[in-house]
Amino acid sequence: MRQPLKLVPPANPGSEDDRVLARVAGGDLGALGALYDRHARALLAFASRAVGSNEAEDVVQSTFIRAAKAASSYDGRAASARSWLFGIAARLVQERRRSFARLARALSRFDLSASSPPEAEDQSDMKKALLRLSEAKRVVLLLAEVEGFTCEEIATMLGVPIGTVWTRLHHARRDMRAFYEETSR
Amino acid sequence: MTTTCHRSWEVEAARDGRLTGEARASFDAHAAGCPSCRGAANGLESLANGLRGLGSAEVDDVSLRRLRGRVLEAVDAEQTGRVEVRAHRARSSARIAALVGAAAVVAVVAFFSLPGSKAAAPALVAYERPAASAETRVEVEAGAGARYTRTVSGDVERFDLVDGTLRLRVVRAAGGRRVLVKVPDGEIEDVGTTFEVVVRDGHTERVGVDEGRVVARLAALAPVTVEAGSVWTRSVVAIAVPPSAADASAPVSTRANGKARTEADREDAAYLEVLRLLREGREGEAQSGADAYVRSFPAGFRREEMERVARGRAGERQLP
Repeated sequence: MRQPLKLVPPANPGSEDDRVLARVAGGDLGALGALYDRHARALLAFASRAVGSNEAEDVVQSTFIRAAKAASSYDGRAASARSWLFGIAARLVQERRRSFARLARALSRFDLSASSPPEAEDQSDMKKALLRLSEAKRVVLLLAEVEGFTCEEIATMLGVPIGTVWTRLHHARRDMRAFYEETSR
Repeated sequence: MTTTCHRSWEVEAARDGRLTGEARASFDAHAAGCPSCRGAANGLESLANGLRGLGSAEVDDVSLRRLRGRVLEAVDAEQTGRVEVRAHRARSSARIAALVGAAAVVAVVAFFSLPGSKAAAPALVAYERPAASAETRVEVEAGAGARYTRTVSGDVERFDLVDGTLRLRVVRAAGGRRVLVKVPDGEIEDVGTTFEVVVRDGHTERVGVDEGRVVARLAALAPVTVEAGSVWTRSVVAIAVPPSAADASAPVSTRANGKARTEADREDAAYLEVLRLLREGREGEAQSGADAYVRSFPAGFRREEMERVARGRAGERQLP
């Protein structure tokens, strides 16, 4: 039986990234570039899975803009700069969903329809199933199963109780399984 | 995950770290001999593997470099009090459209006003005799229907390629004039080589190099150095090919990507240096630096901003 997922543990947590973030907090754009070079590829892959490639760049751009603003408040409570950045990106994905829901409600008042998030068509079954999950479940599933964060880390990143993370993870897997069983009939 | 084992719920609990100590050890011992629990664990792992396979192919170096420029530009805009964070995509598109339009106008004007120009090469392939020059010799092969003009001005020999395929062989002695191929969305500079440029619908589609190397500076992209045996295409950054066979299905060239990255790093460094000088109030030096940036990176991400600085309008910026 395998151990709980920890695919990409923070490399030497609290060292180089912390120093870079301190420089970012001082307005050093070069340091922000270094932070970007270190984490952008993984964040872009995460965002592509979470919201689709069309919007992934917006999520990553907003992540670094928010990180630059909030760098001075980074105090090492996150397990690493990596988990801190992923936490920002995950919250942005969830905020995006809330914005979308507001738009859908507004359109419904005018008898217009807001379709499901883009890119649901022409995708693999895996991606379709993933896009059918709520943003909250999708984010937790990706952070745990793809990015390798522990449930404790995810709870800290998202600011929710660990029980909530366990529940969302369980429901996400159950929904994915249900989608496959439904499509294979 | 179909299982009849009464401990199947523990598969997920163990994976998520909900089982610790003795409970975890007990379950591990059980799972080692329980095909049902092992099957359930394999099901969860398959799901994870499937998820890991999603999206990974969608992250390419060009997107990353382009996004890097946007991020730095946006954060700089916020730090310096300018607000243009969300406008970038539209602005980039408008810039590309303007470049294409401007290049088309230049090409049309050049066609009607310059001697020796041509609107379209004869059918199949046209061949121009080498230009008479002691230092630089250029042999030109134009693809069927290619539209281009050729002019010499000062120490620059310039080809304005509007559409079609142009293949050049450049022999240049030290100090010889430069050879530039202006395309609707940028320019390609020869560095002593044999190369081919393809333009379709106002965009550069392909730059292939047989000998030597060229530098392609195209709108909204970091400058790319394409070396012998490599092909740059719009959809793929660079494709390594054997010199004898340009096959677009060949593997991606990490060498060319590395070159592109180096150019982009230089561009970032030049931009950041200008910002530093501005913040320190050294406007004269900043102007010089901005001017150097514009000359070195004519298709750079911050060209417009650097042009403003170079023209001495740095005072418009609200520096922190």
